[in-house]
Amino acid sequence: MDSRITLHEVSKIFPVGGMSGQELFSTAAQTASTGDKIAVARVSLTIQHGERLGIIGRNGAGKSTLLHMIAGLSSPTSGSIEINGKVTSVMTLGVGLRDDLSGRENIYVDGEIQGKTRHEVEQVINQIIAFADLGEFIDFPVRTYSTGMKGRLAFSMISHIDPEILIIDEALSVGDATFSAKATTRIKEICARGKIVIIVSHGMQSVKDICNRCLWMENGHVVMDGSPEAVTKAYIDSVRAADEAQLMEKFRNFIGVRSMQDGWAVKQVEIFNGEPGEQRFLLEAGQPTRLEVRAVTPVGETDSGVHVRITRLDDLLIFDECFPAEAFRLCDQSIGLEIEMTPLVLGSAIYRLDVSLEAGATVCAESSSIFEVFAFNPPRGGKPMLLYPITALAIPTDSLDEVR
Amino acid sequence: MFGFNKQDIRLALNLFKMNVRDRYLGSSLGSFWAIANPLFMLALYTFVFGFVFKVRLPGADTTLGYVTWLIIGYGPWIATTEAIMASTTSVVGAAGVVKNMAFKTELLPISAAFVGLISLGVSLVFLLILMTIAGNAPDWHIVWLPLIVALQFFLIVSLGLWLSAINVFMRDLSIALPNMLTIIMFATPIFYPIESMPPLAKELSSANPFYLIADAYRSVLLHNTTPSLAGMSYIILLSLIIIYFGLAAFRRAKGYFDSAL
Repeated sequence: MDSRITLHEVSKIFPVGGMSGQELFSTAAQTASTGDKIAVARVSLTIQHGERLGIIGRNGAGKSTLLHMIAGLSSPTSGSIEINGKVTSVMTLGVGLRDDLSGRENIYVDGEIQGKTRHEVEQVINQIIAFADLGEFIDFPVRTYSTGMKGRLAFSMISHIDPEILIIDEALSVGDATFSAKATTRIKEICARGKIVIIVSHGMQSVKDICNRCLWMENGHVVMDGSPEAVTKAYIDSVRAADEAQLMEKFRNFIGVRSMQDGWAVKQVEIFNGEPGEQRFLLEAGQPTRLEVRAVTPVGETDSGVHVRITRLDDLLIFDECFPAEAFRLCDQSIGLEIEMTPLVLGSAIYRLDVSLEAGATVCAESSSIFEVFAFNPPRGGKPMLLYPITALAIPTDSLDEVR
Repeated sequence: MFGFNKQDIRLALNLFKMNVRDRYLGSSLGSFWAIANPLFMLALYTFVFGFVFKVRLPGADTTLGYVTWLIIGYGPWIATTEAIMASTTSVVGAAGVVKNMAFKTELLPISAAFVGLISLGVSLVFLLILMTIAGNAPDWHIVWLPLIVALQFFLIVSLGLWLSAINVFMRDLSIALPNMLTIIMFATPIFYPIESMPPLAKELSSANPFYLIADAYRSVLLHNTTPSLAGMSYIILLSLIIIYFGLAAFRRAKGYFDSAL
């Protein structure tokens, strides 16, 4: 018989004041009163035989709640869930580990909790011990283990399940690099055997590797349902946009444009990042980056300059250079300059960009803005490898757009 | 039966084994405490009531007579207390498993209750040795004993289902419960004969299942008579009612356990 999971209008509502025990007595279905937390809102879904579903979304989007309901750990407040097939769920590793017992005894205890007979456990115990690869420690009490070793033992215990419907919550890689790679491979093997696999993950790569269908949840709703490539891309884009808005909100007080003298003004400061360049505040490290400044200064002021400074939020001055304004004059009062950084060599952090127009030592106008740099592979450990401070080349703007 | 299958019974057995191991074999003296604990409690109450207060039973005026009578009632009560407490805290205590594994959580309070069998066994063995030495070993009526034990635990399990589920939502229960059990203990004619109660309390006690259980033990072991069949039927009926609604309530509530634990 084909495995199949059908969810019909499934909702889960958590009362505001926590649980009161009325569940024990009332048979009536609960309805959401004002302020109740709706974790999952009327989700309808059919998962067919052979589908490997990845669920992504921010913290608190309802992913785990949905997973718990499918796994039978909790029941929906309303709606129905129909499941054909035997469900095996792995929510957290190592909940059942007992510190006083040895690793070997723990494997038996784990089997007992799952309702297996001693004989059934004995059939797989050697494989489990071999996979955990703990050497003599397998016969020592678990309290003598390091965290990594506990993780390895716990993972090994689940590594020999033969699931029909498999449900996995969160990242399962544990231990050192070698073991982690071994574990990831094993997870993929287990998933390949399962008739239906549902995983919740924050790792977009693992979702793309394992799944053939992806669900994006937000505030208890399914926002998008489709191929892992399309959904993860849409999700990452949305997260980036939201983070950008949040960043702007947070540092609004840093941002501002001021003109101290008539005839002086910074009109526009824009940062373009990526290929093709888009105007952004959240920049990806390593991508081509261009800074565009438009300003007006009085004609004939020979001593004027455009001062550009980039400061990291912890006040480390990264870039500090003054360009003579006359070299970048477009027409009449307008000046425009572009600073190219290809690739963007700044590391992950929040930075402040100050552009000021100076006549001699006097600041006549200034503009401050904030941007953030993120890197997909931030460096770890070691000494910084960049020459400090960084330099960049400034060129006159090609286009002669009129500055308004 | 009651919606359980063979697999569940095996799981319940495994859980029971684990409970016993956690309770008695985890500490360094291990099984010593399994025997010492009930004996210590029996010795304490025997000393207080038998030698300090010098309680005598009407008719039998020896201290040994009272002590045997006391232990027959109090030994099973210790088991009841332990079983009810273990059962009540079973779901909260196994929070990690409840939140991570899909299984019939009803099995937790049921299997936890049977931990009380250990101390009941110790009390009964001690009692039989004592009675044999004193020269009044029970006669063939002892065949009723397994039935009485079964009824006692049926009642405990049916109460445990309620208490363990309520304890998930109101943790205060496991704190208040020892006091409540002490009140029940002294309100039940366990340390004193029912004859010394005022008439109204006497009437009420005939509906007290814990008294009926103590009385059944005494009939079989001490008085060598058949236990009150009316009393036993009453316990069965009462337990059936409690377990019928308890199981339904537990199954309704268990979908909310993971958010309350």
